[in-house]
Amino acid sequence: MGVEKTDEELMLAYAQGDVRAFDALYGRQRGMLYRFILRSVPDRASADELYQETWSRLIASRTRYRVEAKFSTWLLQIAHNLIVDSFRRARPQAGSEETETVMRELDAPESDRPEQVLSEFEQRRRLQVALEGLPSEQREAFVLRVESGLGLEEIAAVTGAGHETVKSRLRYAFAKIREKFAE
Amino acid sequence: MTSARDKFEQEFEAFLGEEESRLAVLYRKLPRPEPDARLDAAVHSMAHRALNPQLVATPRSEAHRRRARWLPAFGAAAGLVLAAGIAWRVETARRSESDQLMAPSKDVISVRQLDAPPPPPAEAPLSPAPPPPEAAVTLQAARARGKAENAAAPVLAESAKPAAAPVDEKIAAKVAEQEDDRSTASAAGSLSKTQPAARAAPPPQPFPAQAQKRASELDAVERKQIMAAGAWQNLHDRDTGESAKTAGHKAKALDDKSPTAAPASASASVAGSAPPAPAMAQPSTSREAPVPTSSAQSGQAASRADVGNETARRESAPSANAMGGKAADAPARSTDPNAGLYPEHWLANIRTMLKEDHHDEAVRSLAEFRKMYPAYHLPDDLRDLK
Repeated sequence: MGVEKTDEELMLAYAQGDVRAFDALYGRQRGMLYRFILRSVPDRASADELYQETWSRLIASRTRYRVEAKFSTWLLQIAHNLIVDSFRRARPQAGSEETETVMRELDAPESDRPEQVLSEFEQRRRLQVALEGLPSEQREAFVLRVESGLGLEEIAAVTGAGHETVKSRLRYAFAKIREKFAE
Repeated sequence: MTSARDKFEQEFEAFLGEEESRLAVLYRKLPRPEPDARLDAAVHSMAHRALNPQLVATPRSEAHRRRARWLPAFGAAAGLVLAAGIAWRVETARRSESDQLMAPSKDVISVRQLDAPPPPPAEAPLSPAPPPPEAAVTLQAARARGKAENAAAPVLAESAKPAAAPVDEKIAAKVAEQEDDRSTASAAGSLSKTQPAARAAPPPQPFPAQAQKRASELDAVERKQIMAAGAWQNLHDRDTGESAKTAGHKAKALDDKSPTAAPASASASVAGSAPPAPAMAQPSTSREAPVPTSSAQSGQAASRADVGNETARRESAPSANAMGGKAADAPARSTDPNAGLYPEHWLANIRTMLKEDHHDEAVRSLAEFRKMYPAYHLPDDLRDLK
């Protein structure tokens, strides 16, 4: 039994002409990348387009790939840039006023948040609604955290934001989702 | 209040630090959509094509490349077909041209034959058969086509240049010009002018009864052919009557010329007085046409309309083709009135002569037949006839 290659090794192998390495790498990353994009854009058609474009960019820049970070970070960074571009083309970024309001409401009494009594189905539904209601930067940071399992530094690398900015976005996202569960 | 914030901070720190925070667990219970097969195929195609663009391509580009690969081959094949077609056309035109150049020499020979003593008078009174209505209609159609052919005549004359001498080119051009005038005049002429002409000079029929019987047996095409051939021959006789002397002298002189140039010159000299510009159907027509043997007939024919000539050429050419080229392959002209018939009909007439005790006529006709069709396999009953 050979040791399974890492994502970075597979990417390097593909850059040197190994098509099967790409197939293996694609199989590993496809779901995560697709869901990340799908949670970040309003519709599936845009997600499909951005997903394909992300892989296209990756393929085009395969020879310039260097192992300086996790492969998934690089891949998500490409996707993030494309998502940001699509948002810029579509509509202006959401403001942060809404998140400030959410943070002020965090001080509500604990008895007013009976999330424990909600069924699991209802919890999933509320999480879905809460995610859709998040500003894109916060949602993206949240998804990168829970979907891709990235830490603050990696999210910062993907999104190009600072460490504290990422932490703040995550805090706002976490607070708003928690608020949805309290409704 | 402080405790709530502290609790939030604790939960948030757990969310950031733990892999399996409560929210993360809940998130993983959400639907987990994945890209569909179409997207997967598109990405795989991109990845493979990036490494080897020659071997892997999307179906569209593959079809495009296949089409592009076949285009040169298809173009080359089309070019070959085009070249072969052109070569075939040129070869056909060249053969027709050579036939055309050969035929007039025979006309000249026939002109000399016209100078021979007149044949014995016809045994039966001439019974000129009026041209059938369809023949008259055909004459009109031929007249109408005359102009179109006039337009083509210079082209044909041009194509005859390599074989003919420069003097002949001038003559051919003159002929074309005369033909143009003639066809214009004949187009203006009435049909009644043509019909008496055809009626006035029927080909001599030694056996009118048999001929009429035979004509009734022949189909319309054959009858038209015979009529047209007669009209052509009569016209030819008129022309040769006018220029008999010139033609005779020229024919003698042309015998010493090269075989290629001589026929062309002879053709031009004969055609200079009457026949139209060189036409491809003319040789076969002149071979089929029965030759009048009387100079008086020639003079009579001189008054006929030129339409007959044109019609003869028009009508006899397809008929000759329809006969499978049998008559057109006849090697020489004959004075026998049956010479314009199918060989089989000619032989039938010979048999009829034998039955009616015209033995000498039959022998003479068979001799003519042998001259015209030396390679024809005679039936047993006629093979030994002497």
